[in-house]
Amino acid sequence: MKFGKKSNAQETQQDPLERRAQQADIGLLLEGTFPYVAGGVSSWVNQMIRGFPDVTFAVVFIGSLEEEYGEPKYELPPNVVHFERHYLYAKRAAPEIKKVQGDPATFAVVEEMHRYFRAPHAHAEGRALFEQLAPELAGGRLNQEDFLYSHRSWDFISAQYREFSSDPSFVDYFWTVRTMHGPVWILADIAKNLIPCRAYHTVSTGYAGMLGALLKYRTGKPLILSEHGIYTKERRIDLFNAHWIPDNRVIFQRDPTEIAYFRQMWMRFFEGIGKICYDASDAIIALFEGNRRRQIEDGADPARTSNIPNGIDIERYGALRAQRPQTTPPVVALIGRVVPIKDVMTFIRSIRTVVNRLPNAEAWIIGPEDEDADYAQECRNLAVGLGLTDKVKFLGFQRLTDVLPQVGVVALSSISEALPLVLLEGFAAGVPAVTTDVGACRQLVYGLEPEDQAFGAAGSVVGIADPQALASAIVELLSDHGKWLAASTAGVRRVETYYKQEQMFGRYRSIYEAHAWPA
Amino acid sequence: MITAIVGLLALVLEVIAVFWLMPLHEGDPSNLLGFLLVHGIASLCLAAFVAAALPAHLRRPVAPVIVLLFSFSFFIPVLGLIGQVIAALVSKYLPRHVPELPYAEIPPIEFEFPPREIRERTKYGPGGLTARLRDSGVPKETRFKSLLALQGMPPKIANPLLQEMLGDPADEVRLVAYGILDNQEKNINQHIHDEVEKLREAEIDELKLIALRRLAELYWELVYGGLVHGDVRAHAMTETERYLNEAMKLAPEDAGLWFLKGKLLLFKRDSAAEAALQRAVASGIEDSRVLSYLGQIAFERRDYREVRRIFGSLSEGQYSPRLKSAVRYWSGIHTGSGTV
Repeated sequence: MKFGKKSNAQETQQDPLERRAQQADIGLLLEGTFPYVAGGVSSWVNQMIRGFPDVTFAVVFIGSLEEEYGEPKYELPPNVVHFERHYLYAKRAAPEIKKVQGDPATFAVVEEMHRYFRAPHAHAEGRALFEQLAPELAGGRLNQEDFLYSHRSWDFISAQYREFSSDPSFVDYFWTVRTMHGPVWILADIAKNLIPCRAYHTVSTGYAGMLGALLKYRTGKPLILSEHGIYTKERRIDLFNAHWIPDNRVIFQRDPTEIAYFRQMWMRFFEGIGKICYDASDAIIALFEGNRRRQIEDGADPARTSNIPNGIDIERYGALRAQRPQTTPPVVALIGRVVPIKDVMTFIRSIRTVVNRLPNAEAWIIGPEDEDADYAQECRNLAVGLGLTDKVKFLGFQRLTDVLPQVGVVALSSISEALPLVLLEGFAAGVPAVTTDVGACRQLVYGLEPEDQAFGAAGSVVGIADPQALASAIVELLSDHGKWLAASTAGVRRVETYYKQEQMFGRYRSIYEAHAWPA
Repeated sequence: MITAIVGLLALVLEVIAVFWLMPLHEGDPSNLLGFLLVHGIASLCLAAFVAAALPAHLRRPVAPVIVLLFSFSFFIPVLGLIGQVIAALVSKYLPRHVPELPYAEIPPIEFEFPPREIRERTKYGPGGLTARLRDSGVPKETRFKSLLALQGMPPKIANPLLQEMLGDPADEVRLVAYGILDNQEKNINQHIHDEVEKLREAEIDELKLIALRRLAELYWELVYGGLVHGDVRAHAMTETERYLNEAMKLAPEDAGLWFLKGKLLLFKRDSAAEAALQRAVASGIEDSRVLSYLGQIAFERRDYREVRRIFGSLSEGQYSPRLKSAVRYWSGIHTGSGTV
């Protein structure tokens, strides 16, 4: 008994994330980000929690498999009073097999909801359907047993297969449906057991968003959604390139313009749970106008949407300007995780041209390489292949305040972004940027409103996967001091006017006040 | 009734025939002839009797059945008759039970390719893809589908279009185009990486040559497939040339290497391309693979007579379908040269 106690105490000591409370102000629902992953969204979450020291947070982390996440990358701030983590694809025993009929009325709602997912605009009452089902999922009339073992479930799945599937394999269809729906009941359990909160805040749609919807319908408390990237779109692109999805069509059944059916099913599943989250959210916040429009296109009610751009700690980064050398260092830095979405390879290719034109130039790749080690190795191979071993330096994770004063230009070669914080941090430190034309980058470099545009360009924007254009823009800034100075000044003024973290906190505070604790 | 009489007649006649034969004496063939005559008539009667007694489905076709039955009793005297009578009785009174099977003949299925429902859904052929992809006013889903269809086209044709799509305002279109191109390039780069390793480990010239040839070809694929641009393309071309030259040191008369060299020089618009391609032909590569390139060189030199000669010398099946219209055009002019 003593031994047991000791070991518990040790575990508590070893796990810096162990926090338990009876209640919290905000239930923060996070999928695959803070505190386990470094990067834009995680650092935004960290910034937000620290920005509201008077508010208590219960953090729910949702991941796929425990082994995919290493040590936490962030320390939990003191106002995180409760922390729990759940892994959706971890092995767990299925409920005991028993004979279940399935409730006809509930299954009729399920059927109706699937009809709604197929044609959301044609179904006026669609939003109410999930609200009806949410409380039934944990301990109600739609438990996991009903899904796994009931006759009605079998009949429904078979009927859907007959009506819609363009893939001939029923076996694959059946198991795709089962795998896909597995997390729904896990989320329902999390929702049932979470400590009471005054409001829930999810930082994406997807599984975290669905959990938000379940919580909202279970407790009646408000749900706030902040979307950085557009989750559904990113999943769609991932799924398009995924190799694990079977396609059993023979050549006679194959239509070259049609996506394999199971791929479509997965895409529609994420569209469906995205829709559930949009329908349940009281406030839907995008980082910039392009994403807000996309949310509306995906089914968000325009009246509930708004934009709150990222903001940064101006004093902290502004102080770095004093540390800069007189002349522009011939250093171009890509700051970000070394992962395919950042298209680091295009950056490395562009450096071939940069170095051809400016032989003393150097490229630094600043960011962790552990998330996709194979890709990081490919990048290193490419640098070797292009004869850039001495010119491209992989520096790993670094404190930005240490490196930014030594950087001439920040480069971003990403194929997809939202509103990248590194550009803002670079701007505040007086470093202009060359970016690809993705997310809000154009708005950050050239300005949004006329007054913003009047500050001038804080660098250049080029097309994606165009190393030649990226290189030309980098060379232009590094070799023309006048241009560099103008861009640096424009960046500083833009970030100081529009992207201060106080502005962001202020707007979120009014959202919390409006929904979570109305006066 | 008649059948029974015929059967009885057959029996009587057969008995008479046997008795006819009994007093057979050596050297008197008339008895044998008489036997054969009476036995023959008996056999015929029996054949008619048994045929009539058979179930309907065994009775046709009539003539062969009669001949068969006749043969049985004629060539196996007495026993044939007894056997047939027994067989007829068995088939009449103990018929095998044949179940009625639920099968019927159906008309053969006509296969269509591609199936009609797919043809009806696919409202555009390869020609329309380009137009649809370039027009950003076309709905996103339609353009996305066009993009998927591009995957089935040869990289040389699809890649320039995919490159254009990288600037598309729709995220999905842009990122999927990127994904397709990136996968191709990644594949080639991975092979390059593997071959460099193999080259490093190769100890004999034969293995070195294989690796060098593959490396030259892989770098060339990056250039020819339009996967690299600007300085990176220049780098890939330099690498192609470097590995090619090293390979040629080991195999100076290799037709494939000369062919690749010819293509590379032609791409660089180097006038030495023609000589390299000729050398490839001289070293044994098939004419038909090189002729279209020689045709291109002649065309760029404005030597149209040579173009006509080259294309005129190609016979159907010697060139790819894509060249068909060019070949038809030039060889057509060749035959009607008076009008040029």
